[in-house]
Amino acid sequence: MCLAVPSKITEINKTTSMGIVDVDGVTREASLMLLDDVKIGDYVIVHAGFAISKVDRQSAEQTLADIREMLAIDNQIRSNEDQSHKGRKTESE
Amino acid sequence: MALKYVAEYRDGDLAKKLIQSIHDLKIGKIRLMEVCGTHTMSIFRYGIKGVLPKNITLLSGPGCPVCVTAQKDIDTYIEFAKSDKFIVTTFGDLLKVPGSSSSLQKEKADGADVRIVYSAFDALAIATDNPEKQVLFCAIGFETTIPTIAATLLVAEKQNIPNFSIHSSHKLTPPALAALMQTKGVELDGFLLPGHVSVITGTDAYRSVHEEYNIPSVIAGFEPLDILKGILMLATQSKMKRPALENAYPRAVSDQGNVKAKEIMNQVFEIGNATWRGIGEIPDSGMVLNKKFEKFNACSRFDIDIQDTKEPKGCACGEILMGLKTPEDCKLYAKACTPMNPVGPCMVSSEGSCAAYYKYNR
Ligand code: SF4
Repeated sequence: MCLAVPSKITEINKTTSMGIVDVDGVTREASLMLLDDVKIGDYVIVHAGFAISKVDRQSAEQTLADIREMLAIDNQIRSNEDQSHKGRKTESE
Repeated sequence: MALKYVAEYRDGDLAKKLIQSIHDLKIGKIRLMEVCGTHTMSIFRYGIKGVLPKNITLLSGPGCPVCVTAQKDIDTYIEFAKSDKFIVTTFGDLLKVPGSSSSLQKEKADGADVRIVYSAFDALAIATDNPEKQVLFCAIGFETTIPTIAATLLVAEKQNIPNFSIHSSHKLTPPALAALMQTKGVELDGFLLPGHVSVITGTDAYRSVHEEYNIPSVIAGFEPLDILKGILMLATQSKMKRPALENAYPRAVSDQGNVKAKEIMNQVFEIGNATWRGIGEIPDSGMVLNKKFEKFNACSRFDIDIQDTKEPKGCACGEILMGLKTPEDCKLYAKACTPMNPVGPCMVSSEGSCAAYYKYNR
């Protein structure tokens, strides 16, 4: 029931609170009743015919940046561990 | 892929690195529950179980709306379909769910007017187009769906549509998680919390459950990187013994959630008890029509008598929804029970654990 992929708003009818949304070329109608201040070009999550959330561009990018950073820190720790491991090894040898 | 906010979240290189980081934690045995049926589907579709360390067990939770719908509610929908006064409108997944002695699909084959709709609005349109009939909408779903049904009823009220009603089997997620934590035998080390329920509820809705049970809890989206990141966060919390409530899906989920949707939901519904398949009645875990909208309550408007509700014999759906069993523990799985011939709802719904196992895991 849940369409996980964000849809882009391409048309808005203010009187009926209905919009046309597009997912990769496939368009369908969705009610905009559950959202304030949506505009054409916004990406929204559509569930059972209703747009339920805007997708925030900044945090979409931030999440990816976070993942990259988290992995970089991880790698850092790992290579430090490797280093110290090697260090210890040399000592004991 | 041109899809915005999707392709980046399917990046294979990043996924590999996330998987490596999860392995590098060298975590002891942990059991994580993905609460939402859409997560179950994504986890199977992208083969996520296969790439995780053996020590991490993923269990499906009570987050497939069709699966948790009580047998009595299914029987109620079927009973309405038997009346030729009614057009019964439903989300597609409910059609094949076996009731005590029939299913909506069987009734349809026998001539009942049962129609699949994509949204509650479509059901209302059918009511407008068929003034000589009563139109019942099978109102199932969680926090994600309830506001869409509430919005539809606001419109029905405004347009004064007399021949539209619902039977509500709505469910709320946080009370179910609390009930799970109190159930004997349920052992969980973390919740992968549903992305789109949380879009409505916001992160704050889980705070009391998280604090009371001190359990790692992470809200995640549905793309592979979202899920892997969520699992890494849960495993890290578990390893560090620092349970937290975190939001790994901030592009769609805020602390307060969708305030407008919640307002609309509360205009029409109020909190009430609900019966969950397998789990039983959970206090304050449902949403029922409030006084002002009671006129849309099909069961109080029309006489309907449901007796002798029977659960499908041998079906372990209830225990699967609580993380107590996996589909392979059910003797009927892939034998007497298949998607073509489902015995229980977990094999019917595309979001059901048994259906996902059958499709991807055999
Ligand atoms: S395999 Fe069929 S009978 Fe067994 S638990 Fe799943 S739905 Fe129920």
